[in-house]
Amino acid sequence: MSAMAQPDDEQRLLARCRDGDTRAFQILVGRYQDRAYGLALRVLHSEPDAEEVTQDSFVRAWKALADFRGDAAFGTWLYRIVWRRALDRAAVLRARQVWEAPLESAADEGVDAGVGSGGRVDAASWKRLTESLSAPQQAVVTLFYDQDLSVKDVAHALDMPEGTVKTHLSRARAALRARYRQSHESGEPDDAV
Amino acid sequence: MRCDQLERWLDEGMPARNSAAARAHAAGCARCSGAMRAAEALEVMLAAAPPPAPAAMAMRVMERVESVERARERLAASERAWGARRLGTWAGWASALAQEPAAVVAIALAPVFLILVIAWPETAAAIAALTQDALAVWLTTASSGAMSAAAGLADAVPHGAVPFDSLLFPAMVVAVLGAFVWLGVAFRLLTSPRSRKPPRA
Repeated sequence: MSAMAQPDDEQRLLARCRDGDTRAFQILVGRYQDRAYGLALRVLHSEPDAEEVTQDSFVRAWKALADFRGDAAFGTWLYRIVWRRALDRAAVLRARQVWEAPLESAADEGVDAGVGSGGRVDAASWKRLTESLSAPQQAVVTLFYDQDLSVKDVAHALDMPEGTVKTHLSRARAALRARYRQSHESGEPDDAV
Repeated sequence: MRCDQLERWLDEGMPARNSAAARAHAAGCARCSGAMRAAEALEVMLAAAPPPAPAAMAMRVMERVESVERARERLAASERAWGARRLGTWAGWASALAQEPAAVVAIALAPVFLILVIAWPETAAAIAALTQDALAVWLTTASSGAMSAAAGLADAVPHGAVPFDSLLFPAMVVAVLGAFVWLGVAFRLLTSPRSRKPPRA
């Protein structure tokens, strides 16, 4: 979704939301919940935590609608909230040492993020694929690939310069490629594609 | 194209420019061919959608949003009842006092008396004497013993004996009025439901 164009119906929905219409906000929740949840899940690798962060983010967005100036798409603004909440949550999890708890058999498996039925990748597979990436790199990769945002929109969502986003993408691709090749050269079966 | 240039091209996400040169190089370089296959496989994996949000998550979000709205409404209703009586600021106090008729009278009388004393001291002294006499008569005619004792006390103060005689009884009037105003305000604040702090959202 481009940051330049705010669909007219979305502008009307946002205007209704600012007037206190919760039904309009429910439509926006339905429209963005999968993508917001996906971003949180990619960063946190935990479905309960991702759900909690996503819920918190939507509630914060509702409370802060008066501050939303509309200079970017609502989705981009929402992703920024999700991203910041996910980072905060990740910091809490690391502090609790839950972050280091390995998933079952994840550490020994290859980097074949099994693309399951319906073309989806589960949390464990994604973690195996991206665990070598930093949190900003994971967020950039998620927004760029999952949410199909442009570099400019990713930069706006994560409050980063565009050059930084490109750098993160470049380094993430290099790291993933190295990991993928290392995994396959060690003889892991390739059933990802 | 060299191997390092192909790696950079892959890092940039395999843009359309230089694609032909990159593929031509990969066709003749086993290492770069493997890198390109890896990059293409990763592009598929990365583009795969994450799992959808839990089915009931939207409902839970809306429950929390509705809860926020109910709290906002309660806060707004409480603030309307609380009105301008926010006594945390001077403006709040001034507003509260301005709504008390007795306070308005007392505040209006005080400068009047002050001007009277400064500009017409003889008149002020005469008024003070009359006030003292009237107070003494009122206290004397009261039936309670305490009031009689107080009347005796008033009688004990001779006219003109106190250097600030001309100020004394007007000041007493203002002070008594002021005391009643403060007592009244305090009583109403303490006993009114509005004295409870509005709930936080």
